[in-house]
Amino acid sequence: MDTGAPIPMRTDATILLAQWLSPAFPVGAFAYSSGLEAAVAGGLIVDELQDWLADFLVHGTGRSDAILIRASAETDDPAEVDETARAFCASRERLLETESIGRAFCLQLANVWDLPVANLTYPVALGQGLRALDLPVDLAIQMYLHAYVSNMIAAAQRLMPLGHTNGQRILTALTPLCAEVAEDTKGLGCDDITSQCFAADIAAMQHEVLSPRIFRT
Amino acid sequence: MFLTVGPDITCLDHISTKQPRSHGTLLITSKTLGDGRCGLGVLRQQGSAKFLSVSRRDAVEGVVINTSGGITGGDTLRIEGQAGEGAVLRLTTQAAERIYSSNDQSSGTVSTHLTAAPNARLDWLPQETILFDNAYLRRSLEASITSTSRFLMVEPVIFGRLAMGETVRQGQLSDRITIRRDGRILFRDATMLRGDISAQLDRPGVGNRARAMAFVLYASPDAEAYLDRIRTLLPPTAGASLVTTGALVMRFLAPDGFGLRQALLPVLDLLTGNDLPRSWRL
Repeated sequence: MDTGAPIPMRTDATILLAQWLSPAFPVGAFAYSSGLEAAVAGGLIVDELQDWLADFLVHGTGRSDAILIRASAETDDPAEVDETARAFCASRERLLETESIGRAFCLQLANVWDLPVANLTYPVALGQGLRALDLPVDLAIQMYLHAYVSNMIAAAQRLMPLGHTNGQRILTALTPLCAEVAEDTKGLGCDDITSQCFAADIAAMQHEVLSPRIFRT
Repeated sequence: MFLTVGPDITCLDHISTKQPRSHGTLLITSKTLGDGRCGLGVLRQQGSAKFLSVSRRDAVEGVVINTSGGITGGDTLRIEGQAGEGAVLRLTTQAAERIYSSNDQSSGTVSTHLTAAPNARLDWLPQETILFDNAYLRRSLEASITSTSRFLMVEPVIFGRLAMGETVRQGQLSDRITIRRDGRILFRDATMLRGDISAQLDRPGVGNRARAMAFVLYASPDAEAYLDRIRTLLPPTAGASLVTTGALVMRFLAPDGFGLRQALLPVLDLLTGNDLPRSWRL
């Protein structure tokens, strides 16, 4: 793909993706729990965590973000994809999460890689980065989903009696699912976005008035 | 049964699989008549879609009736409702809409198109849709409103005839909601449940063992004012959020239709000013 933009540095694509999707990348992902905090307050237990995260991947945000990343990576003008991403946010905090992380992600892309992006939702921002630097989309989606689950497990460890080893077991068990979602969303566009995570949506809504709380969502 | 069916007789299969397809379209509009009165603009009914008007002067209110008695694979139902400038249109359905088993996995299609002009009030308050086991339904709702319209919609769904102990082990529900305000996309929701729907509803992030659910949206300049009061009315299995200025979104999960109605009624009472259509009280 030739976008006409200069590639600012020669970095191995996988390493660059690891950098962007690392918990150390300054987008503040650690501050968000996607409603998990409220779900735990509402009775979600450790034994259900893996299924809950699998639902996110297959039935919820994971799948729709995968489609949004693909749609964004295919266009020079992501305005419409970004509008779609916002319209599908079923709660105010879901929007806050994808907007805030996306804005911070855009700042890094603009300041470090000189890309003309600003104020895009998270998956749309990533898609634009992939397009500009010609990075592998399928791998990026897998790593995005993996980073997402990993972040949620880190959040879970602060919310419920989940040890490091069991956290890594859950992450390992869900890793093939990240690849499956990436594979299953090939060729799909914004009109294929669906979400069935009703219980997770409700938890995200309830989080708005949860007190006390340690996460922003 | 009086029929004796031998191994080479297949006519019974033909009798039971040949279901007639029903099609219905309905267009209804309301307009202001002056002096705070509101009346019917256009009413067009075709096929299985009928409209039964409730007599009142301040609104066009009525019941959409699907005379085919339910929806099965290949059936289509298209409902269009428009509230003109400053007018009030309030639509409900006669009873729960039953989505029957589809013999060939073809979907029944229900599409709803709603328009609320400036300062209009439009309430779309259908009763529950009940998916039978092996039901296939493709449903869509598109609404075009303005920043001065008041728009309320609810879409309750029950999975299986629960009183009969039925679970939906096979089927498909494809549901799409698109709301535009002043020509811009305000909100979208899309759902795809297929295959063993009950197993999916059992999952903690999906239905958390619910067998009934509802989506409610209230878009209005005064939407935010209702948020705190609605939250106090909600059970632990429901949530409300002001997704953007002037747009409240609610999701409800419940073990069955009765529980869903119990959760919905106080919220719909509040958002309709205790003026819910009578069919909701039966």
